[in-house]
Amino acid sequence: MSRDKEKEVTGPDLLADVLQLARKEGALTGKGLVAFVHALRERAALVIEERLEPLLARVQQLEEQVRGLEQDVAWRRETLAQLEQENAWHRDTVAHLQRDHEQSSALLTSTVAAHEGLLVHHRGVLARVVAELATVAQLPWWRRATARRRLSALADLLRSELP
Amino acid sequence: MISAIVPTRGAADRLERYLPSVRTSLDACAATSEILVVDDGGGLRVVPERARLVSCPQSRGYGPAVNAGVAAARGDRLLILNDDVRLETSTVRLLREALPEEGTFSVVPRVLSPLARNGDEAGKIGVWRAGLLEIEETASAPSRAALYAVGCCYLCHRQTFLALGGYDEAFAPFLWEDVDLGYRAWRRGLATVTVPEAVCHHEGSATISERPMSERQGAWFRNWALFHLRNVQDPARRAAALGALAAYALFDDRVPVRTGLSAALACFADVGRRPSEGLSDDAILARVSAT
Repeated sequence: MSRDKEKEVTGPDLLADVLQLARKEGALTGKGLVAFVHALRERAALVIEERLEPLLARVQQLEEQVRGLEQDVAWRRETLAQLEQENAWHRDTVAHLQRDHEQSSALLTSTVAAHEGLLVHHRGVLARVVAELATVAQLPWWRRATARRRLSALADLLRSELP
Repeated sequence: MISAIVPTRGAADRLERYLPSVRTSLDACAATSEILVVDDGGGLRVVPERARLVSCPQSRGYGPAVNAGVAAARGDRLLILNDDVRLETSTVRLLREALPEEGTFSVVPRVLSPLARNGDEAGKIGVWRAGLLEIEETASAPSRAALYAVGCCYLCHRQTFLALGGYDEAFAPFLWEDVDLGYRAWRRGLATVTVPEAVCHHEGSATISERPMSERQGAWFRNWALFHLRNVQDPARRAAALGALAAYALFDDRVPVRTGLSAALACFADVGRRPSEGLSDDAILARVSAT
């Protein structure tokens, strides 16, 4: 086929070329027209069916994909709700732990303060005991009554520190 | 004398593989014979043993290659083959015995092939569907009339082949030329008959399948349309065929369909329709389906 001839009959003119040939052969009049139209209708149905077949298969495939995606979305939504519940539980737990921590910290502070106060007091008592014992140790023997009295007073002082 | 015509496109490996079975089958049929290898395109480097080479430097396809082989043949009977068929020892003898002197164009063996849905390429019939002739497959056994002889293997008289004008080269390079030839033969009342006792093994369009799919589809559609434009004679059938082709022009935007239809119309403008004669279109199909 020459290029010019090929150009002539391709594209939108293809139908015109078929119709021109049909007209030339008398296929568009009388009984020929009936046969022409009948075959055109039947063949068009076959062509469209054949052309639609892959598209319908594609649509079916896409519908299946959509169903799969919908199931996936539902699963994700459910999982998200569970994760949110879990997250809330974690948040509550953290708040509880934070409160416990704050209470423990306050207790620790007061305990440390009490301990330091007690330490100061005991150091004071100890200093008085050391000073009194040093004084009693220097008393002459004839003042042993005084020494006894002062030791007894010291024992009373220490006894008051016992729990 | 039987002349075996084997067109090939330089497929030396296939000839080496399959030609020995052709030689054996020819030798076993008790007739003198020759093998003509038609080199379509001039790609063959070695002439196969006991074969005559018909060289076609420019590749023009199956029909012109067979025609060239027939022109060079010396036999009164032609065994037309593809280069990818394996014959059984008895194939040629059975075909020769089944080919009558008159009234029959060709005899076809059972063609075992992966190409056919039922595994047998020989029992081709035609049906009119939505304005066009469509080919259907039936079993070739028991022996029956077929619409045409599949080009991969059949036996016919050389005189009949030439009287029919051989393969119509308007269908070159390939496809539908065998339907066209068989239909023209039926038009003159010359049958194609299956001989299921004879068996041919066909690898399956080995040469054509080397071509790109789009080219094959375009050629198929072109020649399908051209077949109707050239052959259909009954005015109502012809009008219906044109209506069906109009449906393709209107609703089918596939490139092979559009280029094929364009090419068919252009070719038809050059070669025209065949003269009205012989059996009607419906009578041909009735004779084929009657069996």
